[in-house]
Amino acid sequence: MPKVTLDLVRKLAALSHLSLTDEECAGFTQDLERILEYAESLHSLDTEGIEPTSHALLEKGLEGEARLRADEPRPGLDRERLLEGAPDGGDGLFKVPRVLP
Amino acid sequence: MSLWELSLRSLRDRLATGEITAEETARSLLERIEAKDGGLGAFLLPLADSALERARTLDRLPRNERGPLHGVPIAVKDIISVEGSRTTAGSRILEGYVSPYSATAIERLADAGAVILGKTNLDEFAMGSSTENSAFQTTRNPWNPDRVPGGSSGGSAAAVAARLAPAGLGTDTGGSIRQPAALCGVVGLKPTYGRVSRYGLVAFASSFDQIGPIARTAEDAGLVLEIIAGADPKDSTSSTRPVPRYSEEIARDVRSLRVGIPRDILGEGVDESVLEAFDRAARKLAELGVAIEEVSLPAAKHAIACYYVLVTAEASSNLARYDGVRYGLRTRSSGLHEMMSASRGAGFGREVKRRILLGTFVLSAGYYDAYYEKAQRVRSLIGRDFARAFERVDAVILPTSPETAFPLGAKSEDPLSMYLADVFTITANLTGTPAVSFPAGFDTAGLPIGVQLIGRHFEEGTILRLTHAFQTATDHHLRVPPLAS
Repeated sequence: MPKVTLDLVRKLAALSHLSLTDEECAGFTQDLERILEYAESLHSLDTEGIEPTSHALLEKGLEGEARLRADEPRPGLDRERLLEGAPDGGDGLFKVPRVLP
Repeated sequence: MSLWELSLRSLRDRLATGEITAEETARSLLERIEAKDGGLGAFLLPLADSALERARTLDRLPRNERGPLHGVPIAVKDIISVEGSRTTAGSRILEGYVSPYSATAIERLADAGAVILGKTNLDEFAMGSSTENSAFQTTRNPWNPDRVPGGSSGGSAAAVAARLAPAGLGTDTGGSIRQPAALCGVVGLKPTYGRVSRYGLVAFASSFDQIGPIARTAEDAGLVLEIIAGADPKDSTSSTRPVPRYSEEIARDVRSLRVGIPRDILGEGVDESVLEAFDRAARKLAELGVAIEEVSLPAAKHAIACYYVLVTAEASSNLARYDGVRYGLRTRSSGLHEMMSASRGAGFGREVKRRILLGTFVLSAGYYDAYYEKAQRVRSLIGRDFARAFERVDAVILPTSPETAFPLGAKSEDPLSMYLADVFTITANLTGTPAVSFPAGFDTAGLPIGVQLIGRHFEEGTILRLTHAFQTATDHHLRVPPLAS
């Protein structure tokens, strides 16, 4: 099992776009250590030749339950209405802070 | 008898004959919420005005245009979208967000004539087993105000138990309908994965999430499920299988059915009172003519580890959408990435951040195979265990929760101990099978105990039928919690 360090947690926070306080990072380092230690039990199971399940109905011949609809254009939700939920936006656009210097 | 005391079925029958109106029904429940919810905290947002307006509209409908749930009031977990209402998912990051559309489950309830009473409290993004992770308020257990109602659908479960609503909608990713139903002494049903459309449900872990009913009886749960279930072109995971009339299926004889007890996972860490109630429930089913036998689920003891790897991975991906751009909270900051990180840091609570970090870890290069893919393979093994058991039995019986309602604050500082509360519920989510929790007794402190039946895929009718037979022969579900009287 990998050692969960403060640096690893900071790296994960950066990957997740989460700004965390030092106190939070320290707490999560301990938490992740304990949770991953618990998850080690998975490695005691032999899964040689077992396919991974990514969808609850893909095993056991239930694949047909999920399907795609025809790719046909149809009216969606109203753009202006959706923009009302945005912290900043208008004229059909979401506004974000300046990206280029 | 006051209207708020009536079960969904009796309200429905009286509303259908015109003996009572939708308006007086809604008014009775809303007045009760007003009087009682201050001490309970089940509702984040009562919708009194829209509920009364809707009820009056329903009362004006001619008889032949009335739906099967005409005038029936329902509480909705605040992670399911209701057009024009706030949806917070229990999170600061969605504070003030108003849903521009309704979930399919809500539209179906509305088409059937139901009245939405309000939005109920939950753990933030449905992550938790006590509703204490709500960013907004504490919900108390109607049987003892110092205890948790369970979670994450704790608001809906507490509301139904306290007779603030005859039924509620919850969502269940790892036990979030069944565990609070057990801790509050009501019935909670997690349908088969794919049975109910998730369109309009705020996504947590998409290969697990299901919407389902919380009610006082199996019959009432069936009456709600048969309305909300069914194919939806807006959710590609929704099944096209025909929807049975569950409320009729429940009356069928149970004497041909077989139920299996998986003794191998019923070991340590389970309260004595829970085990006793569980054994009594199994004996009661046997008395009713159900064949009880032992089954084996050897991989299921790894279910929690498997679940928390997969569910955090899916959550870290799903919650990437909360970035301060399209909806919800934005924290002012100079650059785009700084703004996103600051908004997420300020908007998400501790458990959500913990799961995002863990999910990012198990999906990251170097650890993906050892954790994420390994857990997916273990998920297959657990699925095989259940498939083998279901060759012999029609349902598996387990306690819902290893303990009765715990004190507020008892587990909030220890995430792993909170995760262990899901030990008996998460196998149904890992395998996509339907499962129902029903009241099966009380511990010495007077707290309710839930027992759970897990059925084959799409056989909700079978587990509801067993539950109905049990409820017909027992009266645990008729007891009223002290906070309700």
